[in-house]
Amino acid sequence: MDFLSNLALGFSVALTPFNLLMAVAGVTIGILIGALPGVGPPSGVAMLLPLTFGMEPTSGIIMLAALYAGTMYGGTITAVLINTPGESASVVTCLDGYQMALKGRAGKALGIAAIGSFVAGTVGVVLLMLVSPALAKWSLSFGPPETFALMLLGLTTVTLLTGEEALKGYISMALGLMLAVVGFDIIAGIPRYGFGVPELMDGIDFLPVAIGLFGLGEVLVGAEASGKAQVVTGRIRLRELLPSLADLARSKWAIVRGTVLGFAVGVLPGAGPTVASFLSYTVEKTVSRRPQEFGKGAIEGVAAPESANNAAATAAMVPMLTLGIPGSATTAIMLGGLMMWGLRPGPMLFEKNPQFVWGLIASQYIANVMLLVLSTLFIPLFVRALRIPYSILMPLIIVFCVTGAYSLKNSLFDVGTMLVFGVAGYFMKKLGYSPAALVLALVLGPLAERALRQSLILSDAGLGIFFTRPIAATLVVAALIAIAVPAYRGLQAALRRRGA
Amino acid sequence: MKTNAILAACVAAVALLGSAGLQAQAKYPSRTVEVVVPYAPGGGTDNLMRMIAGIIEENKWSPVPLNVANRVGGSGAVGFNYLINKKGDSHVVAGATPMVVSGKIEGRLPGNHRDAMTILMVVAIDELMLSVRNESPFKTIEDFMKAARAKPGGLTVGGTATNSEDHIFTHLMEQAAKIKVKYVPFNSGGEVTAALMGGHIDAGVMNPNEIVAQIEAKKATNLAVAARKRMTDAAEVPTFAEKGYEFYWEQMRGVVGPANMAPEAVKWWQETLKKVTETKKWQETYIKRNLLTPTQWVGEEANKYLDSLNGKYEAALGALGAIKK
Repeated sequence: MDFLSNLALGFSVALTPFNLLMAVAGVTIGILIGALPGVGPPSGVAMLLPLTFGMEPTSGIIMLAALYAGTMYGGTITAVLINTPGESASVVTCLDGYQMALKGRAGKALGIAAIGSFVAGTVGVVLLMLVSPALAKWSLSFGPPETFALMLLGLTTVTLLTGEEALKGYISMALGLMLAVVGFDIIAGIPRYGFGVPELMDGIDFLPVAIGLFGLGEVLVGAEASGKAQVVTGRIRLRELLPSLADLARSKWAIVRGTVLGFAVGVLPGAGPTVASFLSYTVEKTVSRRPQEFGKGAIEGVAAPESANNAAATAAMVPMLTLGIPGSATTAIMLGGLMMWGLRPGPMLFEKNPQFVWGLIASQYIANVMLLVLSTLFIPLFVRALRIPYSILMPLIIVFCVTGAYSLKNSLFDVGTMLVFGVAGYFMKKLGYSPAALVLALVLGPLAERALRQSLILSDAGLGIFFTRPIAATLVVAALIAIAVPAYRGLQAALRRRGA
Repeated sequence: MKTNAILAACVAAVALLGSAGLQAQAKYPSRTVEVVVPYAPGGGTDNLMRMIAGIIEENKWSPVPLNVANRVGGSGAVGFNYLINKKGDSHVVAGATPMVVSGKIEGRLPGNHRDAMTILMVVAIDELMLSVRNESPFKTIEDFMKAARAKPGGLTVGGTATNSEDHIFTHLMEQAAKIKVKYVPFNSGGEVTAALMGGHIDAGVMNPNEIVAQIEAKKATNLAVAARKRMTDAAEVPTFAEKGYEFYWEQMRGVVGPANMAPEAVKWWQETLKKVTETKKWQETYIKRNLLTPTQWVGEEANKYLDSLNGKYEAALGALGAIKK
């Protein structure tokens, strides 16, 4: 079997002591980098890239790929423990992860995230190995109309993020979309709502917004409760630190769905793990038999997006390796690295550099196992952080939020953004407006707008382009149903009330 | 502490050299040099500056550390504004792009290479080409032009951003060939390549390194390059001019400092960059791999080149309606 001999070649490369060490180093550094708010996977990879230039290309990419997987998990830690997303793909994990932590189930949340990441990462590598060329072809069939239809579907699921009050959800989303139009408009080539501030030219970065809304906002709400805020007390037994069999049974389909959806979205150029995590959360809530528990600490609400973001991170390598086209910001930097090492990612890479490709694939299996082991070992340590009295933890979280926002681009402007949205987050929470809907709109808005306008240029402003292409049409119809069903139900309920 | 000690040792070494009668050379650089990258990590300018800094450090050509820092924002405006505000500071340089010239024209930077920055060297020229995927009905540039003429505004050409190098390329091509196409702006070169290979656009404006992987796999074809002569490493690609559509357009890459840099600093950078661009590593891993055309333009030669760019930008951006009145 050609394929087995390739995999054997891969493991023979990945299992050399030095490459094994690089994988361990990558995962460990990745977890730490991911846990620092602001320093996400792209900056982590960029920081370590120069270090790898002295190495063999294979060792270099093994370290970077392990680091990428590590950051995906690391970002979860702060999301669960202090409601502050470490990187963009764990924003949605805050919703249920932090609620679980408040109920003393932080260990279980982190545990299920680790297991989900492991499953998703491993399945992702299998798919990467077996069906890359076919997937790459499928990803190319996503042009601007399909991308817009996907983003539209993502936006219409916003009511699912927000719970009962659909109107408030849509208001939050509208705010997010309004913020999303700030910045340089690449289609028209003009700055919008920039007021001459150069920092606003690239738009409002959503990570400082998310850190403010979730992290700082939570601290402000907690401060009001003046020390009455929940702290985990008493002894935590090891058994309670890890997900129970019942938890696993509840999460297994969430992990499966998160993995499949995450992989499918991750393969598409430009979408990436963040979009994947949001979509899988909303899908999970739709199909769940207990949708009312979402946002209040449902373990599936952690399992699904955490599986999705790891699957998407692996999937983003498909277009990078097979087409030479980056699927996410992080793979764009890796692509730069590959070229510096003298490799040419693209259709010929599998033929020309089998050692490199299969070494990378094999090392992904190893990195996933290490991720599971390391993260499980660290969980008791992380959970202990929650026993710090709130009066001490709170200022620490603020320090985290400030340094996180600053380190994103070494910019004080981002710190200001974070502070403004921290205050906004406080009021939104008090008044029952969903910060998650705002962040979702801010993430999807620019992608949706660009794809919409590109489609309209292609079609000479005809809307038919969204209905004559099969993938786009399917997604648009799904989006229309997602709007119509809750509206119809709401109307029915209102009529019934009036009738009664 | 350790770095402090090393720094102190370096300073001492420099002081010793100075007292040995080598004042002129030893004066610069005297402290850490900040190397500003006005664009995101992983992009073309980031690769360029990290490559240059890497080669300088490998060969220990600088007595002080070079600190590469990305100052991202406003398509380069944040980083270049930062550099311009460092007027007279010889210990900060930046990776130069055509923004050094076009920023002032578009009203996004307060000045250009003549009045607000010091060009240290133009190190390479990145050509721009029109490419199609192999399933395309267009096998040659003539095919493309014929179809474009038959159906004005019917063909789609993808490129990165609006009022950008790619957009100006398309505009100049339209003028030279007397055709009209639909320009579709994308967010990055990678997205243009994906749209091209997926068949969502008819042709794409490409830097050679953005499409070379597809060319090698025989999945795409370069129809023509907007250069004065054919590229050394892709000699089969005709130029637009030789096919009778005369226009020239390209992207420059270089290193720039703030205005009023000390003469010895300018001299140090010119000499050091000359050494860098003559290393094997530079030629093999940077120039050849990215299919660039190497240059070593300094001083007035570089300034005159940028002046010529300035005229082209004014004309093109004026025609595209991108100049603020």
